[in-house]
Amino acid sequence: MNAVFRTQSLTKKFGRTVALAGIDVEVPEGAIYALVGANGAGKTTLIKVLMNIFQPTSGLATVLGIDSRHIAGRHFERIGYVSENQEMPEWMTLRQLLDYYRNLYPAWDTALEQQLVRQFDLPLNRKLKHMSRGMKMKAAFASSLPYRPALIVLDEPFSGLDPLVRDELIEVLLDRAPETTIFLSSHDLAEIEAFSSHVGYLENGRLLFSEEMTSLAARFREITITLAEPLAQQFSPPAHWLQCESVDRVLRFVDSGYQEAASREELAAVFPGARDIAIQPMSLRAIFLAVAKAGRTQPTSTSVAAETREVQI
Amino acid sequence: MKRGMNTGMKQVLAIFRKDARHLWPEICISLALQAALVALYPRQWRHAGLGAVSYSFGAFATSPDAFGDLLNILIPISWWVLLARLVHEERLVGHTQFWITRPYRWPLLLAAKLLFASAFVYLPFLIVQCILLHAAGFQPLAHVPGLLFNALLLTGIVILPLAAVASVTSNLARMTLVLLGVLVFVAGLATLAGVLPRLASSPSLVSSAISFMVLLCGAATILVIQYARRRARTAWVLLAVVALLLGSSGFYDADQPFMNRFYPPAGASAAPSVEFSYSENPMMRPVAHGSGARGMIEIAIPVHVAGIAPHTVVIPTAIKVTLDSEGSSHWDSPWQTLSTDKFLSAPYDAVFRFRMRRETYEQFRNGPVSLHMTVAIDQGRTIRENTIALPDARFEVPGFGMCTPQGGWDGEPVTIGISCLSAVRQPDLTFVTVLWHDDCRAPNDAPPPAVSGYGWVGSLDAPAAEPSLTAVLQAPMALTNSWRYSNRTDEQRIHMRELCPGIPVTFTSYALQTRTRAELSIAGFRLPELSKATAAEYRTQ
Repeated sequence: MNAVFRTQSLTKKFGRTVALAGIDVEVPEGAIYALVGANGAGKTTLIKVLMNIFQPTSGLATVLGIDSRHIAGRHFERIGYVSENQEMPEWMTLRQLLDYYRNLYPAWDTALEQQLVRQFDLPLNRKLKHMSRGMKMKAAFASSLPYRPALIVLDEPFSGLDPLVRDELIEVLLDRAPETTIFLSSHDLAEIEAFSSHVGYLENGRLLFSEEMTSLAARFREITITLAEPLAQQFSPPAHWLQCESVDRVLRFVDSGYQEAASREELAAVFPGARDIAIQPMSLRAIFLAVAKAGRTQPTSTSVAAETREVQI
Repeated sequence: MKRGMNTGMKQVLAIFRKDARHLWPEICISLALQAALVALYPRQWRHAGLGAVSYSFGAFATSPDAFGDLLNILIPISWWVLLARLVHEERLVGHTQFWITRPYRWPLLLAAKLLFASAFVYLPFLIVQCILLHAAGFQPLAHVPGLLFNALLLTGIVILPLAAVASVTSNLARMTLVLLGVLVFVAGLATLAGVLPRLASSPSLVSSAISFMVLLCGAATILVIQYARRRARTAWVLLAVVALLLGSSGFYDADQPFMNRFYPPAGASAAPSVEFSYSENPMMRPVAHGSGARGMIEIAIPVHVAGIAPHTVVIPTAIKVTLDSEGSSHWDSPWQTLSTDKFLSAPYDAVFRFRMRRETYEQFRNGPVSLHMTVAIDQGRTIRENTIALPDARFEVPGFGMCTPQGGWDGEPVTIGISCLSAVRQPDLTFVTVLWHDDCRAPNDAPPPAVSGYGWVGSLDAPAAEPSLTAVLQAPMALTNSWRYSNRTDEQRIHMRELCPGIPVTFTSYALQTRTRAELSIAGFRLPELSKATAAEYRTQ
């Protein structure tokens, strides 16, 4: 599958502040890729570098096969970009805005535009400056989707929106998903968990991991082992066991490299006299917390920063 | 290809329509001010030269003429606001603007802004000028090259610099601050340069054009950098360089290296039609006095001017002096500008002034020196002469302009001068002669003798257009002998002389024929003793 965008050792510095520290990420065509991380992790910076709003300090990024430093003008006929802090020509009514954009996009689909306006229940004759935050975000969607972009980039699109509006936007996005690739950033895991196909976790400018949601869910398990005897003092767990905690005869940890048969065999070998082994799948929230708190290198992906931060759930 | 062009044009027009829809209040204000200029400016021609005569500030400030003058400031300000708002519609500074992630192609965006400026700045500007030219009695179509040149000046002096500053700022307030900062910086450097003592000074040959090109090219480059790449830091550096170049131009004489090229030594192709010699007139003597600049001495040398061929005007523009003493000391001055006296074929006694440092003066003052002066001269040749019987209404002087007899104070039905208008540019250098009378209504049986008067107007080497909002220039004409003292009531007072209807008024126009040099050597010259009077005091004595 082709990568819609790809970065190699992408670094962005603002003076002495490192906003992105050698990011390597690849987003396949057709994916719904969620980039998550705390506020200030570097999500918006990464998006702005991809959109050529910022220039990378070093490294390379390609978007739709084009060097991100050359993304401009006509390339945006294939890219839809919506950001929570993006300005809009607020003096315009929505009708004027759509009329205006229609002239900029050769592939503008008026029927789709009208469908979106109806679906979002948007008031065409109201000026943008008189719209609520949720309505403005709907208007941004309605003006970024009718030209059927090959890539939709959304920077914190649901931030501060009520659940109803958020669901409406997600519904529209999912309608578009079969014909496009969606890349969105969020600091809210719950809002992206339900519909993302891929996920990347950014912390302090470093990408801790980036993979398909199903593989992520499959390789993380919370394991609780009831032992016959308390654990020996000298026990050293494998690197892919995160957050090992032992209380009396109970050992708990998160296995970040879980494989059904192999892991069971490994557990049986390490704890031959275990009275019980409970293996539980984990929610995305639990996985992120485990990774964030582990504060060490993730074995199957990129390294984990020493300093960990709480992910807002 | 055709589809691409159509898409491009569609985008240009869409941006243009969007800007026009949003900026209509600014557009209307700008157009209203220009309409006011069309209505009010011609009033000033009708009583040119007397417009400011009012003893009440309140009456003057609220008069249409004062508002007409104010429009010359308000219209550029309206353009300033309009252009700032236009550029800031698609702000080039920042990273949250809506348009930077939309399929704007920068050449098309720039084209849309140019289209807007053409429609709402240039087109009204040209229309206003054509209307005013027509109102002044000129044929606008005859002055199209001048109008286009004026538009170029407007571009370089107003439009591009304003747009460039707007392109590196995010809003009108910031732009205003930056513009004021740049103006204060340039003016401060220019003032500082004026205070510093300097020997070299030249007539403006290339410096104005260089400054204009620096401004034009600098502003255009900033705009292209910003529109093509949005590199605000680079644009700011360039803006600082342009401001530094313009501000520092006062510290050096950019024309000095070009003087030898523009004023070649006399030869067959550039023979001077003038002879300068040291004046033996007992009423005139050399004088040395302190110059306005610290540490500088100004020397005034009386010079006899003769040998000018008929139909020729000679204007000494600059002087270069060499001093040699018997003790083999030698001093060469750089080129220094002269007051631009104009000489016709009659012999004259004139004064040439040059400056030297005090230490140089002290070095040469005690002994006889060989003084050699090289004088740069502009030499003009008569190109037309019109003698017109003075009518009582507006009249045309072919090749010169439109003139009007100037009415007396308080509406007296007499003519006390002539006011003239020229189209787009200063008229050719023109020598105007008239005959004054004390009283045109005096009985015919004992007419008082007429007194001749003359005046110079125009320029020997005028550019194709003067920077102007109106394209109609008032050509100031100060005629000599226009008044006399009267003792009729034992109380000395000024009596204005009159130009009687039908008197012959002669306009002799000159065109630049050549630029060359004339030489003058004075052997055994002694530098005069230093007078205590300063240069300014000396000139007023």
